Amino acid sequence: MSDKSTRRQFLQGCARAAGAAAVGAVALKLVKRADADKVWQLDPKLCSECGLCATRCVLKQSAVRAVNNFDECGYCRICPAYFDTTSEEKDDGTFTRLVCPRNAIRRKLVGKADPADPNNNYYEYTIDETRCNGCARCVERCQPNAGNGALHLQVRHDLCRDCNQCSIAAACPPAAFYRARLADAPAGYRRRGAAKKGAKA
Amino acid sequence: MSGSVKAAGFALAFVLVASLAAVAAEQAASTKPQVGTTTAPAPAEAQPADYTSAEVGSVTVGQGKPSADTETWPQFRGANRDAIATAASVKKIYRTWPEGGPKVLWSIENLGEGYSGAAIFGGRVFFHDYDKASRQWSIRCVSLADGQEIWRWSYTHEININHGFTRTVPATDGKTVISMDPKLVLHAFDVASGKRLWAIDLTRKYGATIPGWYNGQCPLLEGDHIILAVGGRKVLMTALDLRTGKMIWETPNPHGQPAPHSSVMPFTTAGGEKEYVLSTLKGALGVRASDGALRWEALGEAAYAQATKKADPAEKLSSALVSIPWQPKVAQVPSPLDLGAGKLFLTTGYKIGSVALEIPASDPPAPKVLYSLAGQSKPADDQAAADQAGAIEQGVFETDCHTPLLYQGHLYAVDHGVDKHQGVFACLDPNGKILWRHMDVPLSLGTSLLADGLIFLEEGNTGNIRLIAADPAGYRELGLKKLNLGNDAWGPMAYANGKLVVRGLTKLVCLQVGE
Repeated sequence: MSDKSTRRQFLQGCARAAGAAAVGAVALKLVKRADADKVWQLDPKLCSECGLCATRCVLKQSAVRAVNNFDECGYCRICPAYFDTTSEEKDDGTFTRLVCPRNAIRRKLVGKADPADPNNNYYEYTIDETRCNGCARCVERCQPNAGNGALHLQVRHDLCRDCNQCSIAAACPPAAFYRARLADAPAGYRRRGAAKKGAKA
Repeated sequence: MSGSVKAAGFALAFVLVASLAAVAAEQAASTKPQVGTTTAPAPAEAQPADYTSAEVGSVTVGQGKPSADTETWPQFRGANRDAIATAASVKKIYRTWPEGGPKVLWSIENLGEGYSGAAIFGGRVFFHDYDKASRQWSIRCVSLADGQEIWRWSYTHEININHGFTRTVPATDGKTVISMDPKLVLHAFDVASGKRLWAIDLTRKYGATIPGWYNGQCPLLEGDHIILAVGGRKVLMTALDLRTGKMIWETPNPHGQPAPHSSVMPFTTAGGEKEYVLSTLKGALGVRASDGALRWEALGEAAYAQATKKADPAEKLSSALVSIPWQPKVAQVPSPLDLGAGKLFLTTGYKIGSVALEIPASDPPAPKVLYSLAGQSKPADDQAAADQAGAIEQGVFETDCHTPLLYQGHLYAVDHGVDKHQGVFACLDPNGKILWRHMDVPLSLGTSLLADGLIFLEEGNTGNIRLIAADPAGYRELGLKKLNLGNDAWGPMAYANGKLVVRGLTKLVCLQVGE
């Protein structure tokens, strides 16, 4: 009697274990699926422009890029994020060195130049993403009060490997990286990742 | 029934078309650059070929009446150019503020974005404005009692929004009011009627170049004379007759000093000579007040090398020329500060820092460097550790925009040299030692005004006003008025008869801070 009971108990135990394993596997699958549409995001408000984005990413050229928010940009002729204002000054008031070590910022006159007032023409600054590696030097120089804070860093999701543990996030001093659903990412930052993942921006 | 549906349809279509037209008009009026466009929107009225022509501009008269107030704040930083109110009413300033702060007497909203602070005289408040839809730059005269407009003089003036449209504070003696506009046009107006009396375009007359982010110089009014740095090809500084605009004297410009963002300030050398001093992108200089003779130039190393390289060996300068370890870059906005006893304090932003000079009694007076302060502190992480240890980092101080206050031998100013802080209020002794920094309130390019030992401190990113005791022992806050004027509240304040006039980016507010 006690042997039978033991066998029954053994079988029941096996069944329970199998059931629990099945439930666990389904739960794990669900969790994985829930996380599948999440991406690594960077909160520019927390970013301390430490430069680790350029060196800690597993990719040779980091998946992080500088982005210019044109609504915030002052379009200044002497942009402190473009010109290294600590370098020697040229006769026209611009500077001999640029901030970006990879020459990844493009500067273009907007509208017509006013020859009578050359110091107050507008210039548009765009990032050449084939060159930028997210070193944040321009972002640091764009901080108020010298700049408007228009330049900031973002993860490019078409480049990001979506590592389970992002090596930049692990090293980020102010913990500015977080996981977020792609659909919840700010609209301007969804396009590239969306193209890769086939979702709508 | 179908008729009413049709009518409703037409009405809806009309509303839609009107809305689209309004949006289109607003977009056309916006002067923020449209990325990818090649031409600027056409101005509402053609810009005059000659800004100084008698036909240019028009006056509109409002319903306002001057208040009975007799105290004045006649120009940038007040009568003595020190941002200190000394009139009798300062003894009646409220030293404690009720919950919610002092009362707002009046406010004027929807100004063109800018930093033009107020001048006050005879119950009238003068400031500059810009209407971006019509491209009209104006000087406005309103009542100190209620902010009602007394008159406004306007003319079409094409100005890009380049960190605001307006800057500078008018100057007045109660009969004539003068204004420097963003493109270096100096205007004089009749205070009673608003009629323009005369105007000089510094770019045409002197070949001056408009500085980046436009003119920031506020003319200095000394009796019947206007003292102005023109930074022209040949002329560096000039004194003009207030009533007529006629030249009294001119200072030559041997080393090509540019038109500045900062303003000319009165100064007395160690030898007792009265001078007008100026800081520029090349360094600093002093001009004798009586005849405009250039007395000294203290140039940064690069500017000094350039000046001496180009110098003709046979040429003998009658002024002193020295090199100093201080040369502003990008923009030089704060004006020189007279420390007394022939000492001068110069400061600037962009991580350049500050320097103190002594202008001796010698003839010509060759400046000597007393001390210099770096423009950038240790990195924030190191600073945080030092702060926790209670240490105050020494040897670092710069201010990007506003000239410090000097009160009872101590300097009070917003320090932009501290890494990762957007400006913190600080107190220095006259030898450049930092006595305290208040790290908790980010001030951006905020400004301050002192009256009877009290400092009105305006936060540059909110327009909120903090009442501080001017105390070298430490930061002591006595009151807070939340004005919530938004970002870029950078214009200087003005005070008269218990009323503090505060400038936000698009708003002018008058606070009742005393009796």
